[in-house]
Amino acid sequence: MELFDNLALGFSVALTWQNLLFCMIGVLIGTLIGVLPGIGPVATIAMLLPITFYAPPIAAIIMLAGIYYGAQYGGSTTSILVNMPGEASAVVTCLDGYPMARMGRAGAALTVAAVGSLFAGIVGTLALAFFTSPLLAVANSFGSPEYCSLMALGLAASVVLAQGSILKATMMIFVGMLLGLVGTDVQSATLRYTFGLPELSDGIGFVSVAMGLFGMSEIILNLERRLRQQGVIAKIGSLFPSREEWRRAIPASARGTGLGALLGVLPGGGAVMSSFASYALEKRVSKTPERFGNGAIEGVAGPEAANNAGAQTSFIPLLILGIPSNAVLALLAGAMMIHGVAPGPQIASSKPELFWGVIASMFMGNVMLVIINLPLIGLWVRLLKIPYGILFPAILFFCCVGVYTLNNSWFDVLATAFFGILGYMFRKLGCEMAPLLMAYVLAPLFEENLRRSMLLSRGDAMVFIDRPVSAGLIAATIILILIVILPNFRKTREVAFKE
Amino acid sequence: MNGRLKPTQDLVAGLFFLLLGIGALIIAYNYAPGTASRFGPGMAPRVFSWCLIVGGALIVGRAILGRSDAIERLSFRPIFWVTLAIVVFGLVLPPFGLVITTLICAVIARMAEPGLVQKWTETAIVAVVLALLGIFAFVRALELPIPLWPDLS
Repeated sequence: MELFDNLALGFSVALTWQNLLFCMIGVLIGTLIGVLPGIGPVATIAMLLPITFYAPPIAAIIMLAGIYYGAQYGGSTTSILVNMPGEASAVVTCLDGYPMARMGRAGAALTVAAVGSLFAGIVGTLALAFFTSPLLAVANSFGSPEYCSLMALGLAASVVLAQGSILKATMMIFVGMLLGLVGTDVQSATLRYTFGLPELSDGIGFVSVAMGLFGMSEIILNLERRLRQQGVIAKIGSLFPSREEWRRAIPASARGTGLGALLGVLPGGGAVMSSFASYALEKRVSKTPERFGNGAIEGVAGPEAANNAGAQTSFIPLLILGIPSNAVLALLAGAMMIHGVAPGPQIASSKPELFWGVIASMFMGNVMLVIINLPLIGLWVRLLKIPYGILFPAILFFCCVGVYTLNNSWFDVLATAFFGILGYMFRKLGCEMAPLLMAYVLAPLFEENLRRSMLLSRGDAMVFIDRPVSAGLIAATIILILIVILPNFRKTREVAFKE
Repeated sequence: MNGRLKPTQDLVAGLFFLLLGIGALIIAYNYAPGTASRFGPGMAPRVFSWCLIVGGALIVGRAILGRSDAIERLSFRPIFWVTLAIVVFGLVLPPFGLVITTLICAVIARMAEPGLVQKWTETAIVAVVLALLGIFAFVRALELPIPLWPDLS
């Protein structure tokens, strides 16, 4: 079997000491930021990008991936123990996790979350490995028009999932596109939007944009809200769920895994959408839906498994098609490009050790996460007590050193400050930044493929509809946009975000 | 009507998109648009600028006619000090080295929250620990090419 050969290659890469170490560091940091409220995975990956440039590409990507799925584990800890979601996908875990903690069953909830996540992580990674070959065949048949349509679908999805006004989120795409165009045009060597600054001829630094918009603006916002020490931390109690709790939790975890793995593949999908959908599903299939919100263990098991499965399978569009499906993966795509690895179908064939090494590392990472999370839970809880007044100067310092050393350029540091203010402004104006970041990362790719498509068709825009795969993707994009505009869906979306 | 027009989220955001679009479009006229089959460097900027102009105008219109959320109070203290800390870091580091820069920036950063910097012992510890971290972790261990001390030669 080709799959086993590939996985064997992957494990031979992932099991080297260096890569195990980076995987470990990644999942540790992921857990850390999942636990600490006020630092999300987007901001953290943005902040840590520069540090990874001193590692080889494989190790760096293994580590960054570890941060992403590690955050899904850590997020559940604070949701259950202090009713504070450390991370967006853990919001639903609060609904039943915290009531369980108040009943003295926090330990059981944590165990179910961790074991369910492990199961989901392994299934999600297997799905990723298993579907790679068939999907690669599809991806290799993609021409420029298909890529354009696929990117349009991904961007439309990022708008649908954005909070607040859809029109504003759409405009953020165009702002991101324009930002992505800054620099030298590849085809004509024209300098665009550089304002005579030689520092901008290679484009605006990706790290400055991401770190400023997400990292710096978050620090400013946290300071403004006076992020203080948390309130009461619930007692953990016994870590072992009862037989009755297992009986309820196991099918819920399995359903959550399936749903999450499926939703993770969709453009715009990933951990957050999966956990919300799974909670809704569990409530619907339950014979006793009134228990939900009062400590139903299914409400912890399902979403926790779903967000982890979703986090794993959302790597499929990135690794196979080169299209990131959410903001975290857009960051990873940017990181890969800086490391000289262009995401896309060619990775699996030209750099199989990287492709399969990253996948194999996810197995290792998921196992490490259970070890990190369950026995060491007390340690993580103690971290909640570090005052922000000490934490934020340190975060700021790491960011500044990171941006500066990237190109030894003070310009990049000042650009970070600029985007920090811009990001703060966007947050205040209710403009979601995830579509902007995705568009910014995709802009050069989008323009290039658009040019090629139009050249191919001799200027006929019908090329996007004449080709069946492209037409299907365009149709999906239009359906997605229509669904959002229709009032019925709008209501459910608002309800979903209210929780 | 005009007298009651408040700077709501939508109004400001719409104006921002509109003005950004207009600005980007004006600049885009310096770049050749090319033809439908051969896009020049000016084609994509024009298209995106127009999208911003139309969308921005729609948002402004919606803000004037309909309702929109008010902008939360801005707190200039953290914006100012956090931004200043970053800018100072960028400008002071090349001539003066990492140690001096870190000490200055740690103090500036702690100005961002009222009453924080006045806890002088804590401020001093944070600044010194970060400087030591810079020396030993970043420069000695990771061998980042950053100057530690001012270049006196």
